[in-house]
Amino acid sequence: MNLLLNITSLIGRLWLWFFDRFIMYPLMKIVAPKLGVRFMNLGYWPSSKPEDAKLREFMNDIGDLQEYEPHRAHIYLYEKAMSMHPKYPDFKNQEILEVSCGQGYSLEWIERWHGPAKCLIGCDKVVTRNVNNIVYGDATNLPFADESFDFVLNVEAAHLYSDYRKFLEECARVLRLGGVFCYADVRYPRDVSLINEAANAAGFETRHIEYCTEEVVVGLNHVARKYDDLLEKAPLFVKLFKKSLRATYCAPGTEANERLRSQQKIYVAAMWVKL
Amino acid sequence: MKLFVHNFMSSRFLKNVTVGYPLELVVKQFVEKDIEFDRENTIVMLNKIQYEALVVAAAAVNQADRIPAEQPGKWEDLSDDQLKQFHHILMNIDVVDGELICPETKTVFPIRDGIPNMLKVDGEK
Repeated sequence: MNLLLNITSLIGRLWLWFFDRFIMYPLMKIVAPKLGVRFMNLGYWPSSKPEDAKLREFMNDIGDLQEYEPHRAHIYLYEKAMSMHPKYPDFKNQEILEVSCGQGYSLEWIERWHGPAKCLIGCDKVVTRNVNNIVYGDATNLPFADESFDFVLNVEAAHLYSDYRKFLEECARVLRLGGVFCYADVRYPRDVSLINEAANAAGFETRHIEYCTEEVVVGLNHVARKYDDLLEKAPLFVKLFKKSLRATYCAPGTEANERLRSQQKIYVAAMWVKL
Repeated sequence: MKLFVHNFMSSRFLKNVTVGYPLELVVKQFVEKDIEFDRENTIVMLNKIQYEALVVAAAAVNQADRIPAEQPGKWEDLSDDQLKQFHHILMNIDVVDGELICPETKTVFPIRDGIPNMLKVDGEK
């Protein structure tokens, strides 16, 4: 019986691996703008820990997020990633690249609240909006010249890449000396040291590594409620993938959610500087 | 695609490309906007750009006469009016339709609806 359960679980995880890489993004490309989905990350909710102090202070100063209020948990995740940057929250005149920028709403957010920063470029394999200078590009073959950027940002995307070592080498290549790479992602615990070693091998010095799974679990509770509501209003062809979509955003009651709660999978935030 | 983006772009990820910069640029359609000029921001940006590529971009939209063929000495010494010419090229021009072309292999990357497609074509590494 245990063997059967294990095999079923394995098949389910293989399906989700396939779904995340080959079905979800083409599906979301069609559906996300119609449903008002601006971000596709698990979200974050800052706690009272000292590492969240700067982010809490910055967000308190902003107060009401206006049209971004429904997306607060997603914004918090971006702020968490950026808060590791030595110049946070002031990215004035920085030349910034976000790899896997989605629809570009994070770039709009940065321009509005962390600038003035006019040199914002996004890169993604799936592009749904012509805003903020997004280019179709591959994270492991970035279409940018050497030493072009001051700051590279990558939030909850690298776990989908085919070659994280190549990705890190590309980030190092496009950054100027002293440039900063801020990264946040969901990973297996054993991956973290491998990624850090690969970053060091690519020419980065590690400045900050932090596990923030608990705060992401709180964040995704907010996110899941919103996504579950949207799913109920979605077209039938989207609802056909309801179970898989709920697993992708780690909704409560899914195995994916349990893996995060039990820390079989963890959420890591890291910052490296190019030397 | 705002014209300043061209200054960042490279085709070095292609097979047999050693530099891949600056990309050639063919502009079939563009729009001009009126983004607010900021002297400090413009100078910071100009201190980081590759001037050769900027001239290529300006020529692609027939506005090379706005700027000198050779890079000026110190950006800080330019007047606001002079800096506004550079600001206009970098920030106010939005390419809607065109092509980016690898200078070494002549691989063409289309720009459609303002979005450059830099994904590797079939047959490339």
